[in-house]
Amino acid sequence: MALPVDPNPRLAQYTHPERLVTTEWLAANLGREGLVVVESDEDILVYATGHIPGAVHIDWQTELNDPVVRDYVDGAGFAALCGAKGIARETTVVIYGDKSNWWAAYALWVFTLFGHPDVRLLDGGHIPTAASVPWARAAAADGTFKPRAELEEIYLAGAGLSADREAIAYCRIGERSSHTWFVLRFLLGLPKVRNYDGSWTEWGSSVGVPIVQGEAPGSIEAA
Amino acid sequence: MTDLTPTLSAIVEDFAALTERERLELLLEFSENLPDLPARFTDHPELLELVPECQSPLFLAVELADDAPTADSLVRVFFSAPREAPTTRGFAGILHEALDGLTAAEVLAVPDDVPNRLGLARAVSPLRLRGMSAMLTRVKRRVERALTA
Repeated sequence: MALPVDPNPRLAQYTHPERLVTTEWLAANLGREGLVVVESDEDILVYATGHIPGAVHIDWQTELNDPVVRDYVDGAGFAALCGAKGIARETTVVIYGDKSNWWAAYALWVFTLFGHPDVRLLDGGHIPTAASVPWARAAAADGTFKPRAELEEIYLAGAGLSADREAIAYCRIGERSSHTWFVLRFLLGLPKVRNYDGSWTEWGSSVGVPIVQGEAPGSIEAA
Repeated sequence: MTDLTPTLSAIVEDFAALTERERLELLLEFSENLPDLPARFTDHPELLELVPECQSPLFLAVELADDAPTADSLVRVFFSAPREAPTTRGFAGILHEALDGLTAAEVLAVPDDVPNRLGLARAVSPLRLRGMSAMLTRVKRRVERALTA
């Protein structure tokens, strides 16, 4: 059965607090039956230099995803990978990784894509391989997610998103935008948000699709 | 015959003799053996060049031994990358061992596709290997500039 939700009041400000766990919760629940901790990093060697005791390693670039060929693993392949990592359908999966959960959020998105019921992100910490990356802006200085009010300022007031608007996150190959997708979908609770798996690699190489240059959003008609 | 220097050739052979999993361990060893920057660079970070193609902050510097460098001048190369980025450090460690102490002509003769000859594309992913190619390109560009300055 799924493990209890982290009751930490800090998480209660988000729409889906059950999608996050604190480092304190993880420390208290480590080793419990039904929990598998997954480390998923940008840097493939970080796991080998030290990780949370018992955590398994999933490298999404080499194990499941080829951003050039786009040969995503299919359902059977995903099931085989989970089996090899000790993850069953009823397992509570907690994912964390370097660089403010950059690839960890991507891993969580893929787990969600395949309908894994209980998959959560570790909020901050990146223990024991703490990395401070100045160009990772979505997280607070200590590696936790920013408070809800600040996230709303960035995404709702700043970018003009709202619950009734469809939103699609993209980046170059769809991994960094998974992080944004997680924030919009589970922390701010926007129902109509999706991650574009092809992202700029696909769109930017397609003939005849509209593009806009510069910082302003632009419009389809003008492009 | 090979178009590689003896050191580079030995590194390529070392990687080729290993399984993919062992290649990652060797890459980790290179990351641990990357020497620290000398004080003249840590005191003057503005002398370092950032390599933005790497996914982690990687800086490099290149020095030629003579005031009026020629193709025979010895080249020193220096890299800096955080310990939290062992893959990037590993790439730097390989290039440091391969390039530091060569002549300018030898550095310029290193084939651009060396990063792809280490058998790491599958183990590390082509995306990550791009950072190593960028480091090599930038070192060679610096040597070229020093010769034509």
